[in-house]
Amino acid sequence: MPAVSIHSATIEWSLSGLSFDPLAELLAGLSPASPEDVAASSTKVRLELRPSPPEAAADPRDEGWVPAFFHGIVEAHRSESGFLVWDRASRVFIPRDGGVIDARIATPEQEVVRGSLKSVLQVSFALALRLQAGLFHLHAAALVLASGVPVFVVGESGAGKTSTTLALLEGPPGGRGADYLGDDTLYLTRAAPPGAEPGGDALHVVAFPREFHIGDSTLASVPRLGPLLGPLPHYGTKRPLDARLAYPGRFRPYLSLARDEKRALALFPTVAAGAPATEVVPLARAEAFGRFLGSSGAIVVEGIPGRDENLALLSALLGAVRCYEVRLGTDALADPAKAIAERVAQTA
Amino acid sequence: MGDAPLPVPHPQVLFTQIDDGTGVLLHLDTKFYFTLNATGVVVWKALEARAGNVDAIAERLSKEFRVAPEVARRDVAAVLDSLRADGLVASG
Repeated sequence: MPAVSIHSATIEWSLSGLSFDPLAELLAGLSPASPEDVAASSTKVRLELRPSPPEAAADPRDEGWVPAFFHGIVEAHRSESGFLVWDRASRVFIPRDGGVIDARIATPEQEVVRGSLKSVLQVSFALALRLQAGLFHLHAAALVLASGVPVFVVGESGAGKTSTTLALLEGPPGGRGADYLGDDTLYLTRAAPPGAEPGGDALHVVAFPREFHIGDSTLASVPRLGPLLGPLPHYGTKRPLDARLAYPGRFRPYLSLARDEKRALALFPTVAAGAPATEVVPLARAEAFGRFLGSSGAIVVEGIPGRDENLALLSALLGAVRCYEVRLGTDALADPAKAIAERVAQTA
Repeated sequence: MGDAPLPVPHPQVLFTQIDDGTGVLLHLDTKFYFTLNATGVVVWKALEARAGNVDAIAERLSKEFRVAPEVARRDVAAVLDSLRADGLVASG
């Protein structure tokens, strides 16, 4: 049975009747877990993957499920027993009690929107890791500058998050680029990393490795990445980048922030239309926290478990960072090393 | 009007106090967040405690932030107006 480790948890899955393994690619960036690793793990997430039956296309509302939230074509529904993630073809049921996740997987030919299975699985993992492993999703990038300063980059699509992240990965002129955890998917937890003593009040930020997504304007600022990009998917306008190829040896599976951490930065990029020069300016902490909340979508889902713990983790993250808005001027695309990476390094 | 009943926090609103004395309200129904300055935090906590009236909150603000009582009363009224306008409180 294939299995991987993510921080203090293991994920294992079985396949029956499927001609392909949809998790193999999605979880490829996580470390393989041996049967001994799984046995020793205190937190196990288990999935059974089977073909999707024709009745999986039926609307869950007709079966008494209550809509919880939408993510594009993907719908999440809830009941007292758990959450159901559905894209009109595949269905994934995540029980609240830690039981086995029942994943009914559609073939690409059965999909209503090609490629939506990937989104179903990503949403399912965000819910499963929250419900069953105490890992709370945050939509943000995380890096560690060459100076050792942890940096978070938070922003909605189009705000300049990937441009800022890539600028820091490439580094300031003549300087070393940052290490990275990921460009858009992080998990927060108090659980100790593997091999560490449990307990303590450090906040751990966990990577969920997946490809970066690069749009045309971002690519124009770092053209060397062009040959490394994958093909444009039939949905969306951004091409995938395998960061392991672009930045070998720079991946970090997690980082830990002590309660008295004062060095870390949280950057909130925004496009300053028409401004020639990029500026890095302090951001009010309440506003920064509001944006953390906006990047933790599940927190507002009715009936979601762990809301208080999620808020406490975000408060701990805020307590560990200094907050800045990065107002991206036109120089950010022309010379991101100087406009972004150098200014951030000076701020750090 | 300073002794009129205070509104109460909307049950679907979560409050988080920030380490610099400011705060954030998250409305679970609308999914919007709202930031509070230090004055707003004092007012919100008074509403949560369901104790006192506008005059009592103004008196606390006046002492804590060293502002004239009349200014404090105007500040409290302004915060309450904003909270009502954004649907963050309900009638007491």
